[in-house]
Amino acid sequence: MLVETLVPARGEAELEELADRLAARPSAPPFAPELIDFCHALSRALFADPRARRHPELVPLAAFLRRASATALAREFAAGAVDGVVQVPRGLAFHVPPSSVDTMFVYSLAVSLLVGNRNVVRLSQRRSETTEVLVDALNAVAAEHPQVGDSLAVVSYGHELEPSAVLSRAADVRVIWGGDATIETIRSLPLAPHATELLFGDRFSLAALDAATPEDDLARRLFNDAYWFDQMGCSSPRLVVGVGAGARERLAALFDELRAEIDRRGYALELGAALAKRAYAYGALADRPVRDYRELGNELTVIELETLDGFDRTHPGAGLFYAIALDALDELAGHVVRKDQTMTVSGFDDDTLARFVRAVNGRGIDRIVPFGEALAFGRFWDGYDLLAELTRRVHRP
Amino acid sequence: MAEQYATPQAEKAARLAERLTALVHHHRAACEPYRRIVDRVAPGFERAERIADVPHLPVSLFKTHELRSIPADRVFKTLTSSGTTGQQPSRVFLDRESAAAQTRTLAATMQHWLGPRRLPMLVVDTRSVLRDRARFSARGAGILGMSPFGRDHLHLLDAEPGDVEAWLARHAGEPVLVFGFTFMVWQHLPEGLDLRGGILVHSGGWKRLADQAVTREAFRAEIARRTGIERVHNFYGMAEQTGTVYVECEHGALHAPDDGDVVIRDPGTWAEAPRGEQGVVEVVSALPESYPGHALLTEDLGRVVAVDDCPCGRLGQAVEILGRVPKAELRGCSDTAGR
Repeated sequence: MLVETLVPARGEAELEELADRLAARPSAPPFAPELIDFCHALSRALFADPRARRHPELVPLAAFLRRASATALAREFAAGAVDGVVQVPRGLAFHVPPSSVDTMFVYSLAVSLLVGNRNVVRLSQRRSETTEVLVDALNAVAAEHPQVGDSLAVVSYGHELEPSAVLSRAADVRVIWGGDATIETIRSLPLAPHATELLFGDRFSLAALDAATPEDDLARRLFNDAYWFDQMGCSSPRLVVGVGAGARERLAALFDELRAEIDRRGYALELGAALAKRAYAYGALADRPVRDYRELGNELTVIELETLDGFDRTHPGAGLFYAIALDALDELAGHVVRKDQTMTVSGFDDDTLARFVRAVNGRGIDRIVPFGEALAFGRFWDGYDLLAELTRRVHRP
Repeated sequence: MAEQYATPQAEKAARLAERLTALVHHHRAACEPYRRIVDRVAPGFERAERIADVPHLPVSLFKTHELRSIPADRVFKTLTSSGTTGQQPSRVFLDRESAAAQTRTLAATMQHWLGPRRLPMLVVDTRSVLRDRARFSARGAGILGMSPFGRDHLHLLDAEPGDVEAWLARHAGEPVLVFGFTFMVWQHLPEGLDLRGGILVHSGGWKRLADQAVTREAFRAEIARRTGIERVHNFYGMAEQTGTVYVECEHGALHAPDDGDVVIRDPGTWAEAPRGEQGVVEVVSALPESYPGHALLTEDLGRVVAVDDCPCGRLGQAVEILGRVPKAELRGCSDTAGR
């Protein structure tokens, strides 16, 4: 079956041959020097591409790929080793990233590559400029580092299932990002009996702040968390929870500051998105227990809720925030659901957060990070430790 | 019936603002979701001085929500409009009185353009779009709404060989009315029909013709070439305000009817845009009582081209519709590999 290839070179390939070739390639040991060199070269290529300046979300990606952070990850990986157990790659990883958080496929690919796996990534045929920048950078680096470059492939095809079926059969581990329907569809394709699977479904994220301990610079950090992907990233906060006395006032002030930050950054929404958001918001006014409603220009709408009872997490993106004031963080714990992924926090002490995680006890929320780091990718994601999931453990005497 | 398009804008706007104010209070009392929305977006609303002060709903809300100001058992018919493919249709709930008011108002408007006599009517469509009267399609509703203004209807796309010739022979020398959706007319109205002296009324949006770079002038010229028809009237309206239509005059301006008007809104501030400037079209209508559709923000772009001063002599506002607001593509995790 002929498919479009993007990496290691743009062109076409017989998919079965490509899968056989990748499956037959040797794996490198985790964090082998040539793997770290490859990621570092990719980082430099991204920082050097003038088109990248238009896409601020590439900056943290390029930083993640640098030698310093790859080496730090290598140290964490080594520290996690158990005496008498050798950590080895799984083999061939098949990645199905979300088609529109453009940078995600490189994070997924890079972690898998660094632990020594061979990789094949499926991209959709609708590709943004960011994706094209990333593909060009990967190709340039693959040409300079053929040893690593020949162990990875990025292919592109439509919604047909046959190519995914071929790659699923060849894979030792399959990584699927996307909405529930995508996961259900791809998941139905058989894997080899020994193969494992990582699933990153559609998620909802929130922010929480302690009104008693105000921090500086929250609006700027909330802007970065929410607006880089038009509030459509799984980790982009969509609900802001204010905790303690004066929470309502703190929230109101934060949204005023966020409005000023939006102006400072020159962020503007397409008219179609603004209309769709307003239609959604009016629907929410009709259906939900609304305490207050503010439209701060097209880019920012705030719906303050009376209660989180029945809060169903549908959301249009595009700068709409639900807000709620609670007396204590413990009150939030009862409302957490499996769909909740990231909670960005400000002002809470370690004990309060530890108590909160224990109170939720795995019903939801897989990441708690400070304001401003919602989109910072890490080895712990959606409840997985990627370094562990993408490797096997060999016991030796 | 009072003379149409004869009221100066200031007088008409004052009358409409008063009527729309009454409708806001009526629907607040009769439709709970509407009250919840209006009490948030226009808290303390008492009275609209100007039409632009009337709180409006996004028209797509009728796709996602059931908005009724009558009990379910008084629903006499439900209009649906699919809008863009793949979306939920709008649902507009009518009781007998509202349905009758729509018919009456449309008649008053159309008689102004077509004259008091019903003309032999050629419909550029098939009868099949009219099936299932409980749930009209936009095309079906348009045809059904226009049909009373004609007689001896011939549905062009159902015609057997010889039918058209026989129909033309029956009406030789008489003016005829041709009606159809704009793209249906463009695609299916054949060349060589002698319809001189007739009137073409068409609607349904210009998008598919704009895609083929067909201008209004080119459309008129092509219709004249195919059929000899010189009088061509586009009209603009939506299923959510059936009965309130904006008809194109000989100078290409779409005139607001006596019971309806437009507010062009600046898409940055949402305030009323100055005359002539492009903005998002809000349509208002004095008719809707059974559902809160009296002030609707559309997804169309337009501008005001005349206020009491169209060269055709009609009073009130006239607009030009400049197409739809492009759908935004937001990025996101939930965007699936299936697409």
